[in-house]
Amino acid sequence: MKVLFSSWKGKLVDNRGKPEPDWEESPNIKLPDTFGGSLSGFIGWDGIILLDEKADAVEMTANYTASLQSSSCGRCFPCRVGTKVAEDIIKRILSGNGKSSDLEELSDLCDSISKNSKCGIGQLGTVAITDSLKYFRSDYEDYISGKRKAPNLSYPYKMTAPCISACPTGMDIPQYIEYIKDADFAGSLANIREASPMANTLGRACFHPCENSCRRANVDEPIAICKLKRYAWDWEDQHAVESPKNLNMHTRKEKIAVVGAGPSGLSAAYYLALQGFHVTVYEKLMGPGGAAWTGIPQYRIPKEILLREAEQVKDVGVDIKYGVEFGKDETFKSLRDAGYGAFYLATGGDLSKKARVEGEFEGYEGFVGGIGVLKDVVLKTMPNPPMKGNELPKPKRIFVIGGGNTAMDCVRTFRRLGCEDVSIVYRRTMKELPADPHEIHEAEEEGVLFKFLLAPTKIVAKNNKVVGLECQKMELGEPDESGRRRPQAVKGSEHILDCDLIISAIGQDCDIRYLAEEPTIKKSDWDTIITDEDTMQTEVADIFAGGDVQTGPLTLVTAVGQARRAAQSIGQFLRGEKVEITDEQKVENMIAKLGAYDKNEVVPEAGGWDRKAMPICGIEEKNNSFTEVELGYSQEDAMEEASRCMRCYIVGMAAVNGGGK
Amino acid sequence: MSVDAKKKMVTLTINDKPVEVQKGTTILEASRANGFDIPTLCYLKKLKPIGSCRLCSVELEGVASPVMSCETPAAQGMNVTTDSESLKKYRQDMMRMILVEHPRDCPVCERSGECSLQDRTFELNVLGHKWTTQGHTRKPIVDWGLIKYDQNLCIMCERCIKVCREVQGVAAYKIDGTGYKSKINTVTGEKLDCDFCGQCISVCPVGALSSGIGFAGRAWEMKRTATICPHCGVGCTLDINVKKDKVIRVTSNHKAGINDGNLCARGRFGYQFIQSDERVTAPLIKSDAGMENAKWNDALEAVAQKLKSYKDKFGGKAFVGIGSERSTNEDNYVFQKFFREVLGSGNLDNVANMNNGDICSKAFETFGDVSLTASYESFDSADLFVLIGADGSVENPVVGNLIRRATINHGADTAIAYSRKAVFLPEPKVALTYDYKDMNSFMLNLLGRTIENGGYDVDSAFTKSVGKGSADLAIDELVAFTKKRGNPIYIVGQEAQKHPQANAIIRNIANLAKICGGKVLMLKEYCNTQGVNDIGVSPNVLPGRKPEYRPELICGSSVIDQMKSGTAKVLIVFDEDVLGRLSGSESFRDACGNVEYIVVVDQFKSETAKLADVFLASSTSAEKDGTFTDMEGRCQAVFRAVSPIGKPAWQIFTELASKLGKDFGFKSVADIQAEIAKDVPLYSGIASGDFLVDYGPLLKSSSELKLVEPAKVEGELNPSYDQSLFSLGLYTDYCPALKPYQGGKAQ
Ligand SMILES: Cc1cc2nc3c(=O)[nH]c(=O)nc-3n(C[C@H](O)[C@H](O)[C@H](O)COP(=O)(O)OP(=O)(O)OC[C@H]3O[C@@H](n4cnc5c(N)ncnc54)[C@H](O)[C@@H]3O)c2cc1C
Ligand code: SF4
Ligand code: SF4
Ligand code: SF4
Ligand code: FES
Repeated sequence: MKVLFSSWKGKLVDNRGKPEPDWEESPNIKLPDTFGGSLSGFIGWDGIILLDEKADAVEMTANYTASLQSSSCGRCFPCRVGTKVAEDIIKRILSGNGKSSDLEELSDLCDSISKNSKCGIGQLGTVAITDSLKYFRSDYEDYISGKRKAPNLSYPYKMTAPCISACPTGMDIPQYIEYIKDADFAGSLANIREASPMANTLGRACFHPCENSCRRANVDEPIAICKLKRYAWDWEDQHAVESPKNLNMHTRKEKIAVVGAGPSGLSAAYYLALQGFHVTVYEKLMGPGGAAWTGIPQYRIPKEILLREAEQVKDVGVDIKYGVEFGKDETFKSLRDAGYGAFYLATGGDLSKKARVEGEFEGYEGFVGGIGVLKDVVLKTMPNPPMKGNELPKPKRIFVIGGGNTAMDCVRTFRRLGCEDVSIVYRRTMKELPADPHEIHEAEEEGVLFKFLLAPTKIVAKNNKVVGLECQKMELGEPDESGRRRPQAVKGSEHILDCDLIISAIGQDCDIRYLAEEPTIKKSDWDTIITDEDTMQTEVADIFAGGDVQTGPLTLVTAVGQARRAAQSIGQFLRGEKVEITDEQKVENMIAKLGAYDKNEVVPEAGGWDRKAMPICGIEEKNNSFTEVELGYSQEDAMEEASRCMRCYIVGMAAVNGGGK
Repeated sequence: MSVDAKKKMVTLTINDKPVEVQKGTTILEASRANGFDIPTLCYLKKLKPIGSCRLCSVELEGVASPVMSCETPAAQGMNVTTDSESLKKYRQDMMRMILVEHPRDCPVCERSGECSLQDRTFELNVLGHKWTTQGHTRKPIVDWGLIKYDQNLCIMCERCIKVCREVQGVAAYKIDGTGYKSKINTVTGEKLDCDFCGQCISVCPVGALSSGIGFAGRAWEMKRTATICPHCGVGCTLDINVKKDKVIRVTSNHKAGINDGNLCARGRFGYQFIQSDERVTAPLIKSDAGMENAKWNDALEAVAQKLKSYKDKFGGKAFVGIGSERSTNEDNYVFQKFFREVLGSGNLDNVANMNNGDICSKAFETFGDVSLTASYESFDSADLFVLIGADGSVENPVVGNLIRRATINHGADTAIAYSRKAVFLPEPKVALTYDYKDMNSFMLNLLGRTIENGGYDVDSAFTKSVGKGSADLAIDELVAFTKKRGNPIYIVGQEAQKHPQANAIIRNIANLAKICGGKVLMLKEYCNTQGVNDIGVSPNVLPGRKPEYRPELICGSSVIDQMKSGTAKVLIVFDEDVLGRLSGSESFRDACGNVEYIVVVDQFKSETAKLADVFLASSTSAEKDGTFTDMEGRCQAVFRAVSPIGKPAWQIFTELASKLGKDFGFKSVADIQAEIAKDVPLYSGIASGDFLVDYGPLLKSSSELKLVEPAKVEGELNPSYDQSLFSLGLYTDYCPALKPYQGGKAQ
C-alpha cells in the first residue's frame, strides 16, 4: 500500500515532499481504513505510519505516549514511571514549552524503558517514539521554537497482544495467564469469563489460534494458552468456592430469544443476562452444549463437566427451554407476540454433508453420518444422559470417509468401542489431512489405520446391509488454487474393500429452514445466514445470528467470539442505541488485518524454557474407555507454564481526522 | 512433577565461569550461589519472582536486551554477564525512575536506616535526578486497622500483594489504577479487613507500610532481640524492638526461624501486655483489707513459713501444683524440682494435660509408634494436608503459612474437616463438616471408607472391627483424593484434642495416618505446651518423660481430686490462669474452696489469681532467658529483651527452696540448662538454643492398628473456641491494639 511515511518493522518508506503519484510502495503494510475514509495515520509497536499530510507525527507520538502511560499496568518501574516522564516531556514540547535538550533526554529515556520494561507496553511501545524522534526531528524542533501548532486529530487506540488479536473472543490472554502465575486462579477465571463463559469447553477443545500467534514461539515454544484456561476452570470446579453472581440480574424488562444452546447461543445468553436482560434459550435437544455436547467425544470433553459449565450460564439468570424446535414449535411471530424484542440465531450445523458416493441415499444398514453416530455414542457413554440415542452399530471393520476433525473423532471413538479395524479413507495424503495435527497423532497412536489416495465411489450392500466400499485409486497432480496438489483418479483402479460400517464424515450443513418466515434475511449459497461481519445483525433489525450457522462449520472459539459481539449489538439495539462497533473495536479490526504477530521478529528474551508437557492417560485407558485423555496440569506446572508468558502487550493507535466517518 | 525432571542439571557460563545448577534455578540464584551478586529490590526468596524493580538485569549472549535474572530460569548453554557499564547505567536509571516519585522524607520515615531503597541508592551510586514529574500528594491511609499505608512512599514493588496472597492466603491487596496513578488498594476498595498478620509490613522494602499502632522511632534507635513468640505453640521467631527499655514494636526477619519471618496478629501486634500498666509489679499478700503490696523478701519468707508448716504436718501429699504452658522449660523444670525435691510432692500438672492426659503427657505411650510431632520440614515434601478439627489459619496461624508454602511451592493440596465452615485460604480441595458431637463416628466412617475404597493393605481383623462405613459424597471424595495425592500430613486441632472422646478420635487419626502412610502433627495451644509436658510438670512423669517410680509421691488421682478430697492443702499455680482455660473450670473453683492456702505466681490478676493468698509477680518471657519447645518438638531459646518486672519464676522457686533449706545452686538460666542437659537425656541439647527433640526412643515399637472405646457423652455437646486470630489466653487480654478484633473481625 502507498503511504506518506512508514517506519513499520524497520522498513523505511519516506514519500514526504514527493507528489502522490510518485510515492513508493510500502509492501509490508496492509492497513484497512475501518474509519470510513478518515484515517490519516497509525502508530504502534512496530513504528509510525502517516497516510497523508493531515497527520502530525509529534501529536501522534504525544497521544501515543499518553496511551502507553494509561495502558501501563503499573507493575514495573520503568514503564509506570518512565512513560509518565516521557508523556510529560512530549506534551511539554507539543504545547510549545519544550527545550531542545528534551529530545536527547527523551530518546535516552526511551532506551531505558524499552530495554528494561516487563512487557510489550514499555518494550515495544517506545519503538514508535524513537522512530518519530529520529525521522521527524525538524517537526519537533518546529514545535519547540513555536513554529508549529498541533492539528488536533482524534486518536482511538486499542491495547492488545499477538495472541489476543488472534483470538476471536479477544480474550485478555496475558492477563489471565498472569493471574495463574500469581496463584490467583479465581481471578484468572473471572478474567476469562469477561470474554467467554465457556472456559471449560474452550480450555479442553479449542483449536487455539492464539498459540499460532504466540510470540514465545519465536524464543522457544508457544505458551500452552489453551490448557492454562482449562486449569483455571478446573481449579474453581475442584475447590470449595462459589462461582460469581450476576449483580445485574433481570434489571431490564426486555426479553430476548436465543435459538440454540450451543457454545454460541449460551455465550450470547450469558452476556445478555449480564446486561440485565431476560434471556430464554430455545434448544431442540434435551441438553446444552450443541456440538460440544453431541459432537466432541466424552474423552475430550467429559459431559458431566460440560453440564456444570452450562449450569453457570443458568446461574446468571438465563432460562433454557429444551425440546423446543424453532421453526416448528416456536416461530419469529409466536415469540414476537410473546414480547421478545430480539433474536439471536445460533443453530449451528448438524446435518451430515452428502458424501457424493453412489448408494448413500438407499438407507442401507451400516452407512451412517458422522454427526449422528457421534451423538449416539455420546449419549451411550456419558453418565445420566438427558435423552436416549439410537442403538450403536457393532462393526468389525469400519471405513470413515473424510480427513477432518469430525473424522478423527469418529475413528478414535470406534477404537474405544472395541473395534479393532478402523480406517480413515482420504483422497490425498497425510500431508494434506485438514484435521488438527494433534488429533491425527493421537489417532495414529491409538491404532487407527490411514488409507490415503483413495476416493470412495460406491457403497456395496447385500440384503440392504453394507458389505463393502468401492474405491478408486488417486494420484496427486498439479497444485490447485489453495496450493494443495489436486488428486486425480487413476482410471480403472476401482476395487472393493470389505467392511460392515461406513461413516461419512466430510462435513456439516446448516438447517435454516426456519428462515422461510423472514425471506429478507440473506443466505449464502451453502445455507449459512449472512449478517454484518462486525455487529452480527441481519437484514431484519431485531434478528442477529452467529456461530456455525453464520460462518459454516468452524470452531468453538469463533462461535463464542461472535456471540460476544452479537450480545453487544443486541444490547445497543434494545436500548435504542445505534448498532455499531466502538472506535476501539475498529482499531482492533485494523490491528488484526495489519497483523499483530510477526513470526520473523527476533524477540530479545532468554529461550530454553520448555513448554510444560500435558500429562495424558495411559494407552490402556485410551483404547478401552472414554476416560478423558488429557489429565490437566498440576498447579505447579500450570504456574510455571504461566511464568513463561512474556506479556506481549502492544498498543495500536489510529490518527483519525475530522472528515467523514 | 517427576523427581527425575527436577533433578536435571543445566550447565551455563556466568561471567566466564562455567557453572552447573539444577534445572529451574533462576539466573539470580545461580549467580549468587556462585559468588556473583546482582542488585535486587523486589526479589524476596520466600515469594515467587515479582519482576517489578528491573534492577536484577543481566546480559545474555545473543539476546539484544537485558533479561531479569530473578524471573528467568538458567538454561543450558547460556552465557551470562552480571555486570557491565550498560547494566550499571540501566540499573541506575531504574533507581532514578523510582526517585522521580519517591519523596525525600527520610528523616521522618520509620524505615530510615533499614530501607532497601536507601541501600540500593547508595550501592548503585545514584546521584542527581535527571528526570522529573509531578510528585504524589496523597494522604496516608490510617483507617486500615493495624496497618498504615503511606501511598507517597510506596514504590509499587508488589511484595505486599504477593506475600498476602502466597503466604497469608488472604489476598487483601490489589493494584488500583494504571500507570503513574496506580497504587495499592484493598481488593474490595473498602477499609482493610484482613488477618492483620502484618506480613505485608515485614516485606515492604520502604516505609510505605507500617504498624497502625503508631510511629515507633527510627531504625538506629532500636535494639532488637530475636526471640520466640510468647503466644501459641508454633514457635515463631520474632524481633522485639526496644528503645530506652521500652518495647515499641515487634518485627520479623525472613531469614530467621521456622517461620520465614511470618507472624500472626498476636505475634506481631500482641506485645503490649509485656509492659502493660496492669502488670503486677510486686508481691501481694492477702489481708483483711484485700491484697496488699509486700516486699519480696517478706513475701517469700511468709510463703516459705507456710509451706514448711504444711510439710511438717502433712508431708508431700499436702501440695499440688499447676505449671505453665507459657513459661520456659527452665522455669518449669525448677518448679517441678521444687515440688519433688523440696516439698516432696509429685502432684503436678498442667492445664493441657488436665484437659487430656493421654494426648499430652502420655501421648507416647498411648499412641504407640505414631509420632505426633511431624516436623515442619516434612511439610515441604507432603502432598496433602488433612486438617481435622482444625481450621489451620486460626489456632496456630503460622502453621497455615507453612502449609501455604507447600501449596505454592510444590502444589500440595489441602482438605479440611471441621465442625463449621473453615476460613482457611486458599480454599481447600475437599471441605467436610461433621456434627461435633459425632466427631468420632465421623472418624470411624472416614476410616471405614478409606479401608473399603482406598485399596490399602489393611489387617483383616482391624478391617472387620471398623466396618465399611456408609457412603458419603464428601468423605469418599477425601478418600479418593488422599489415595490420588498420597503422602498426607494429618493436622489435628483443638476440636479433636478437647473433645470428650479425644482419645478415640485421635487414635483413629493415627490409624488413618498409618493406613495412608501419613504423618501426624498435633497443634499445640501455647508456646510451651509441648515443653511443660516434656519437662516433668505432670503426674507420674519426670523430666524427659521418664515414668516416676517413687511410690511415696504417687497419689494416683488428679490434682483436682486431691483438692476435692481434702488431701491437698496447698495449691501453687505458676503462670497459668486455670479458671480461664480449664474445661470444667467451675469444678476447679469449687476444689479451690477446699484448699487452705493458695499461692499464685503470675503477671496479671487473672481470675485464678483472685483466689490467691499470696501473689508473686513473675516476669514474662521477654524479660528472661530460657527455652520453649514448639509443637514439632523444636526447643528454641528465648532472650531477655527488657528489664524484668517481677522476678523470673525459676528465681522465685530457687529462692523459696533456699529458704526451705535446699540450695539448687542456680545462679543463672545457664546453670539450670547445664543440669537439664546432664540429667534429662531428651533435652541434652537444651543449651544450644535450637534443637529438635528426638522423641524416637519414646515411641513404642508396636505398629498395631487399634480402636479405642470412646468415652460416653451425654446431652448437648458444643466445641468451645477459646482462641481467635487476635486472642489467646491471658496475654492478649492486655493488648489494647488487638481488642477491637477480638469479638470477630469487625472494627
Ligand atoms: C464432531 C465435532 C468435533 C468438533 N471438534 C471441535 C474442536 O475440537 N474444536 C473446535 O474448536 N471446534 C470443534 N468442532 C466445531 C464446534 O463444535 C462448532 O464450531 C461449535 O459447536 C459451533 O457452535 P454453535 O453454537 O454455533 O453451534 P452448535 O454447537 O452446533 O449448536 C447449535 C445448537 O442449536 C440447536 N438447534 C439447531 N437447530 C435448532 C432449532 N431449529 N431450534 C432449536 N435448536 C436448534 C442444536 O441442537 C445445537 O444444540 C467440532 C464439531 C464437531 C461436529
Ligand atoms: S508470550 Fe504470552 S502475551 Fe506473548 S503472545 Fe504468547 S501468550 Fe501472548
Ligand atoms: S506498600 Fe511496600 S511492599 Fe507494597 S508495593 Fe508499596 S513499596 Fe512495595
Ligand atoms: S496484614 Fe496480613 S492479611 Fe492483612 S493485608 Fe497484610 S499480609 Fe494481608
Ligand atoms: S529483583 Fe528482579 S525485577 Fe526486581
